[in-house]
Order: sequence, then structure tokens, then C-alpha cells
Amino acid sequence: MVATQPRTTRKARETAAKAAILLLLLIVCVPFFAPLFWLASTALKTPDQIYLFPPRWIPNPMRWQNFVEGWTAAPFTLFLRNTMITTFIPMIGEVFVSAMVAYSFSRVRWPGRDKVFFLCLATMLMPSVATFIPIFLLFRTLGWINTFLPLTVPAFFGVPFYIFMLRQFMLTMPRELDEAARVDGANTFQIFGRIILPLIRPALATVGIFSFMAHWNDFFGPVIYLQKKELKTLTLGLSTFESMMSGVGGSFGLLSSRLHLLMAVSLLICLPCILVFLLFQRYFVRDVLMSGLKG
Amino acid sequence: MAIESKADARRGPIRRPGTSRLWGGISKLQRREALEGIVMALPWMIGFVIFTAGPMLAAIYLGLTKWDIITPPRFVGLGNYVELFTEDRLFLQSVRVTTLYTIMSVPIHVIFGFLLASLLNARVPGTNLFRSIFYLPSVLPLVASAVLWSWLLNPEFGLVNYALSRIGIKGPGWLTSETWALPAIVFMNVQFIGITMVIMLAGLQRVPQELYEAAELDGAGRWSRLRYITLPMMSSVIFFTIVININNSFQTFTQAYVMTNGGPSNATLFYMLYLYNNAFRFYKMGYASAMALLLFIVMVVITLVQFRLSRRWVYTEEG
Repeated sequence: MVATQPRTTRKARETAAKAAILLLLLIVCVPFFAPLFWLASTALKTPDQIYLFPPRWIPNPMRWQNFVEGWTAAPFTLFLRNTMITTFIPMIGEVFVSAMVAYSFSRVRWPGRDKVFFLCLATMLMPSVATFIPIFLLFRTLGWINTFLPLTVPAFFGVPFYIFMLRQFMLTMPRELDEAARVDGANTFQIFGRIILPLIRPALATVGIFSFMAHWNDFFGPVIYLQKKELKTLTLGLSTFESMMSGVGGSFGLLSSRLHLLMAVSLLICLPCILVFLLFQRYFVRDVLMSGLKG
Repeated sequence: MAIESKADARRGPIRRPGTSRLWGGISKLQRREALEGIVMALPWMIGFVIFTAGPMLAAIYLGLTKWDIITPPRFVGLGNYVELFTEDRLFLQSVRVTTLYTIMSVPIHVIFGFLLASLLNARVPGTNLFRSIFYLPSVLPLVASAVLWSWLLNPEFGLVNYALSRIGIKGPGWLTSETWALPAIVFMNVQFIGITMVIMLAGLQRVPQELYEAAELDGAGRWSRLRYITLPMMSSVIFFTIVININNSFQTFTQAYVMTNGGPSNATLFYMLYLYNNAFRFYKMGYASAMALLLFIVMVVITLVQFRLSRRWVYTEEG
């Protein structure tokens, strides 16, 4: 039995086990890290280094102008502007409207409230696949195709998942906060704006980061709604980059002669996500946990 | 999860005892609070009607019509559904591709996600760093990942086949091969295992340590600790990851759209890609709505069935 063994052998065995696990982790993390490294490596190569065999990991010489050339090979500055519009406007809308609805669902009393909240929860579990065609047709009727409106306006109606997360957070705050303000004559909107919002800043940050990632990375929305070249977002621009340059439609199975530029632009588009992730990772992890275990 | 919050319970019921009408018997102040509350929840309620309930009903109706957007919709009853299952070879292919993909991909994510989480849970130095590395690919734009992996999977100069050649295997043509294109996308998707892993890790960290200590005192080995403590305590988390992984697999779109466009020879014609083609390339809105509705029903049924089954094998603290 383990417990009756002498302390030293047991400790030695544990250390050995930990060393083995560490080694295993080191090996397993290579395929997770290598692609990103390869992306950066290709992005810095001169064209002739791309097809070297065996491949060269560290480019020599490094070609930094790939970033400039790639970025200007298509109107990526314009695409960046478009992406900022379709990222930050919905982000602001989703964060504030979701917080307001969550506040109403958690701390304001009105008849039927919990039934409505239950409905909201139920829609969270509902796949959106059944609704996107009618929604597209609705926006088409409104003449919103080839505008940013289909990608920004819906955000101002709140997102069930964010509402749920923020509600959970608000339920942990003492009720007396609202009561005291109400006694002082504040109305519900004032309590929300002046007392609750400042207190839930960490939760708002979490939702904001989630929302940022979702919109920055969004592809399906832009594909459906933005057909004009000058309206493209970064992800959409990247997906058509190849065909814009070489006339090869859609498939990346074929090698482009400007692969280094393609990779340089890909890396630039990934960069904000990597930065946001590295800066705010505690939020990510905590929230995948929250959504995973409480949902 | 309790819908009614504890804070509410303390404040007592919204209606005074003895009044039955919704708005009867509450004070002016409470009425004002209620009105303001409804106004604040109104955005979501309006959004629910415009973006969920309305479109759901519209999709049901559209699924029963043929509609090319230009001429008015023509009612065809269940015609679309009959056509899907009896005449449309591509539809059946898309179902086959998506099912195969799900069967290959979901077990990999759940099993390896669990194993990775177990490794991270062993409290070795650098755990946080490893966790970040495993999670990092999941935060990148899917389009960028797809572009990158098209390059990695290049038959001649790609890194994947180079790595394989180092261990003496001649790699296939991956995305250009009818046999290997779908496995290639499964393979690429393994890098997104971080999401499953993080959920599993959270579950593992919630398993009470005392259980393991007690079992160890009783002489339980590694295997029986896994079998009788970890797996039962983790069952609800494992179940949850299965549900989200299946739902993600069913809705795979971007990889196919960017990397293969469904080819070669429709070997990667995912359901969502074919649905997209019908709606936005061929403008068969009624037909596409029928497809969307079918997928919706299948996903809801699978989720409900899993919830049902989970009652039998999922351990909950109440049960």
C-alpha cells in the first residue's frame, strides 16, 4: 500500500511522475505552437526560402517588407477600418444592452420576469441555423445588404449568453445597494447607471473581450452581407486575398507565388487576437469555466 | 440553477397576499419599478420577436415553398423535403460528410481534451504557460487558421508532410485528395482542442481532493481512482463537452469554404456549406430553409436525447 511506504521512495516516485508529465506536456505542445511559429516564419521569408527542403525555421535574410507589401497588395487599411466598425459598434451595443437586460432580470422586480428570463435561457441553447435565412431576407427587404447595419444593429438587442453571464454576476452583489439608492429617490435607470455599472466593470470587461473576439473573427456574417469590395472586413479580405492576386478561385490547395505576403497579412490579422488573449487570459479561462459549468 | 434569486426571496412576493390580479395591490412605487424593469428588458424581448421567434416561424413557412427571391414564393407543401431525401444526391453527400466528420472529430476532442486536462491538472511547473499554448490557436480568426493550414497541408512543401517524411511516411495530398481532405480538416481542428480542455480542467479542479486521498488510503490504484472517482465526478462536464462539440461539428463552415470549397469531388461538402450554396449562390431560399430547419431539428433532438441519456449516466450532487 502506498500510504505505508517509506516517505522517501514515495516522494521520489512522485517527482519522477511529475517529470514524465512535464516531458509529455513539452512534446504535446509542439504541434500546438509550431503552426503559429511557421506562420511567422513564412511571413518573414523571401520567396525563394519558402520552397527550401528541408524547410528553414528561422528565415535568413528576414524580409520585413512582406508586411507592408502584403498589406498594400489589397486595400487592407480599408478592410481594417470596416472591421473596426463591425467590431466596436456591436461590442459596445452588446455589452451595455446585455448589462441593462441582465440588471432587469436579476435585480428589478416585475410580473412575469422569471418566465421571460427562462425564455431567454432557452434561446441560448437554440442553434441559430434555423433563423439566418429569414433574418437575411428581412435585412434585404430593408435594403440593408451591402451596409454594415446587419452586423451592427442586432447587437443592440442584447445577447442571451452575455445576459446570462452578467446576471449571474449581478446576483452576487448585495441587494442593499439598490434599496439604499431607491430610498434616496433614485429610479431604476439611475441605480443601474450610477451604482451597478461601475461595480460590474470586471464582468463587463469579460463580456467585452468575448464580444470583441467574436466580431473580429466573424466570417459568416460578412460573407452573407458584404459583397462589395470596399465593404469587406479583414477576415473576408483575407479569404479572397488569393483570388484577388492570382485569379485562383477560393482554393488554397494550390500554391500561390505570393505565399509570404499571404502569411504576413494572416499574421497581422491574428495579432490583435493574440495580444488580447495574452493580456486578458484570466478572463478567457474564467469565462469558459463559467459558461461551461454553470450553463 | 435557481431562476428566483435568493435576494428576491428575502424581499417577499411581488403581489400582496390575497390579490390575484397581476397589477392589483402593489404600491405605486413597486409599479414604477416594475414598469422601469420591463422597459429595461424590452430590447431583448423585441429582439426575441424580430430575430428569433419571427424568423423561426418564417423559416417553417419558407421551408414549404420554392422561392428564388425574384418571383413570389410558391407553396409546394413538403416538396422540398421529399426532393432533399429522394432526388438530391449532393444533400445526401453533405449529410454523409458532416456525419463522418462528427464521428471522427468529437471523440478526439473529448478524449484528448480530457487527457490534456489531466496532464495540466497534475500540478507540474509551468501549467499556466502550457494551458495558454494549448488555448492560443482557439482564439485566432478561423479564416487565418484555414489559410495557414492550407499551407501547412501542402503536399510538397507543407510542414505536415515534412514532419511525416522525417519518420519515414510519405504524406498524402491532403486537401487535394478525395480520401484525405476530410481527415485533413479533422486533423486541423484538433488544434482547437483548447476549448474542450479548459472546460475539462475546470471540472477536474472541482473534484474534491479528499475523495482521492480516501481512495488512496483504501488502496485504490490509478485506474480505479479514474474509474470510480474522476469519471463519475466529471460525467456532467464530459457530457457538456460532447454536446458543444457535436453542435460545433454540425455547423462547420469556414474551413470548408476557405480551404476546399467543398471539393475535391464534394469530399468536404459540409452541410452548412451546401446550405450556404443553396441560399446564397443558387438563391433557392425555400429549399435552403428546409435544410436549415432539418439541421435545427436534428440538433435540438440530439441535445434533448443527450440530456435524457445523461440522467442515466451523469452523476449530479443531488442525485
